[in-house]
Amino acid sequence: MFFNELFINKCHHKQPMGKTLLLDSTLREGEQAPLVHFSESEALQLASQIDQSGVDFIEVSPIVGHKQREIARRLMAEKPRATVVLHCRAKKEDIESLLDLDASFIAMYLSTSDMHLANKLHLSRGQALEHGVEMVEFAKAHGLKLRFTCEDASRTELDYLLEMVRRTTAAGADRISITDTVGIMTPAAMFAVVKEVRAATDAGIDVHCHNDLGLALANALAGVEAGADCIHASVNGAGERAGIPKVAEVAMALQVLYGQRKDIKVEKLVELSASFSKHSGLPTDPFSPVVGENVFRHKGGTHLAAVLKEGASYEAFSPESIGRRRRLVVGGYSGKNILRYLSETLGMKMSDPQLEKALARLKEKERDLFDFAI
Amino acid sequence: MQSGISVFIGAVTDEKIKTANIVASIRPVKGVKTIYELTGTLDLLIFAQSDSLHEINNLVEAVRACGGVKETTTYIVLESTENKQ
Repeated sequence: MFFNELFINKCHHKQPMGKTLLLDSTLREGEQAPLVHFSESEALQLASQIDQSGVDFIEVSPIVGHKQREIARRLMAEKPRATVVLHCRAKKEDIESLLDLDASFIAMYLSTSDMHLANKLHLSRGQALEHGVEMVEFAKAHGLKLRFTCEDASRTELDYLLEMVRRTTAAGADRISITDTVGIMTPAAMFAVVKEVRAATDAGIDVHCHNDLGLALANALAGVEAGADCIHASVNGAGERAGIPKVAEVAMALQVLYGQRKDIKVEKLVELSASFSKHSGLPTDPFSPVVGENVFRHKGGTHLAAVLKEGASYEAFSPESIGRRRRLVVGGYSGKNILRYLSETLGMKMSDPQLEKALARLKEKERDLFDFAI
Repeated sequence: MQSGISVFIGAVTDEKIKTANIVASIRPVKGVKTIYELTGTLDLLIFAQSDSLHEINNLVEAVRACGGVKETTTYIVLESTENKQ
């Protein structure tokens, strides 16, 4: 048993984890990223691909403008497999505008931190509490399923956060979202907060973690280990500032580390990432987990020697498991093993002196020359 | 960094078979880009490219199997330099 299995199954949480749901917010949070704009047809094409990948929720934001409203309307008309979540502020006029779209599931957000209450909403804690409850009751009175998002939850005083969770849940919120709006949590802190929230409500718990310090995925997983059952993600991690977890890394982490969500079609994620890049004009980072160009590309001489014997030597999961291929780089970092492998595979019968000579010439180059798939 | 493998395949051919017929049988092989007819120890020099090593291997095998190809030697391109004179 690997260390991570031992840790996850035996040490960290005593209860086996249930199914973790995946919400894709590419068309909401993702389009809030600078430079990311989709036309209606691009958004619908992306939504179709996202839906085919097997996520549970697709979040859109019809209150932003006419285009987003049309995207929401047309997406719901296509009756995707995933539940379409219509995102809005915790405001009566927003909720009413979603009712006109025949919404069935909405997500309303209200800041809960003192900083946001003072600087953005100009509400006292008590006023915000009453307002949140009133908006949940208003939505429920119209037959909506809903998620209540505590914006800036990670900077909210814990007792007040738990009070907000209890009151909005009692008012009928089906799900609660715990957000790390500015990405300042650690996994241990996220675990602790979500554990408290879990104890305070029977509602489903979403975790929405920003990546400002590169901890979004780790924090989201810690939240799930503490009892949350839905992770928010977007294609290529697009979102405000440093974004949120990437849908591909969340899906693979759930499969590889937790042995769940085998139903998510991870083999479609590379294509999905490429579509996002094409439509947004933002290339996929080569180091991006799962979908990045470098993920199955091996270069160092000792790495190549080991990978040629057993791919898992330097891979967390196989490229074949997500429809990709392993690639080897030939250049200044190469050793004799890769040259011998090429020679034998192509029946070149290079002698040892020839291999030595070729290796010396590679070393002369001091850079990468070419790579290829095996 | 170049993506994919480039190779030259040197071939010695059977003089009883018309070179044009041999070239015609090599041309459709997937990945073959250019076929040079030469004088000297090699009769043909074939330039081929593929993203995949196994496709290159299949390509070399396919060239070897062409009627009139007696023997081949494969050379991997490490780097190419264009002369822009």
